[in-house]
Amino acid sequence: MEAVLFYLFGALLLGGAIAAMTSRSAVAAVVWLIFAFVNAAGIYALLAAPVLAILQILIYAGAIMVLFLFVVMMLQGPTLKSELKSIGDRKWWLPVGAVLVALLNWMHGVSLEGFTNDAPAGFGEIKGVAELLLNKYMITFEMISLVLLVAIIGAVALASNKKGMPW
Amino acid sequence: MVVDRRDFSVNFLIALLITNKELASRKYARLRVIYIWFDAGEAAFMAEQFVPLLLVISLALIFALLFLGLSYWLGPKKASKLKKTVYECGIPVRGGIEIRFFIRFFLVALLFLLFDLEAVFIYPWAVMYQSMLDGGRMIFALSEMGVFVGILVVGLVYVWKKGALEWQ
Repeated sequence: MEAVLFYLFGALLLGGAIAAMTSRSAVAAVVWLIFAFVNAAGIYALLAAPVLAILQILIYAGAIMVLFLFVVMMLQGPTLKSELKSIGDRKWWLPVGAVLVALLNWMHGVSLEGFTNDAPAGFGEIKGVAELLLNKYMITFEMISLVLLVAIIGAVALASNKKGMPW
Repeated sequence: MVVDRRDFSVNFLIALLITNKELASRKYARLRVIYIWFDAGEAAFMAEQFVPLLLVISLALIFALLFLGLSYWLGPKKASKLKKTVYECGIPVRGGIEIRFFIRFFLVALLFLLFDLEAVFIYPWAVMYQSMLDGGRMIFALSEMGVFVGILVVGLVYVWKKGALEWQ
């Protein structure tokens, strides 16, 4: 069952990603990307990472893709329509993809220290994540808020001009 | 809960609500078959807790596709020029349908997302809080979150001062 679901989610994820890349309408591409992300969440769930799966849907498929749509709609109209080419028109991504696949294949054979195939019980659940995040990776946890602060300042900088906010 | 056990559909929906243990009882023998099909009897199925969710999603998909397919198959399709026009609250469409968004919406969405992420990281802390109290580490727990939220409050003050939250 696990294998069946893995291949199902994997196929849907790939299909969604390909559809997103080859789609000529930017809005349709975003919707396909949402579809792909939901399937990625399914794979996270299979990999015993329920927290990641739920965050993937809440944050990525939910909030971030709305942001993507906003960006598309800001550029929409005369700007995007004539310019947007499907990635299918470009052939250079084929060798790039081949290199990426080769890299992943190589990584598959590398065993990382301290990582095993079997996840301990409770791994990836909110308790396990919290335990690690708040104790062992405490500094990382605090750094996350710094990263978020940088992103907040960046967001304001993006929208403002020299005189401040345009409104 | 009193349920007619012969009513399969009711039982099926209950299956989404009851626990795995209850499912093992004889009362829900028929459901067990479906559950096992999803579970495939794999003891090491790590995502077992997601099986009810998977059932809900599959059911939703099946029903949605079924009714969409039925209406596509059975419904008459008589297209006219008027029918194919863009719908805009019943009034004639003015201007293009692809309007450009004002950047203000984008900024608000982006800021929402960032503070949303902050809330996501508060959640594991809230889960751990009680056990930290029991371990006598209240000051550690509070200062850890205090620093985290404090940095983001700086961001909030910055956004406020810059006037990014103004909306006139």
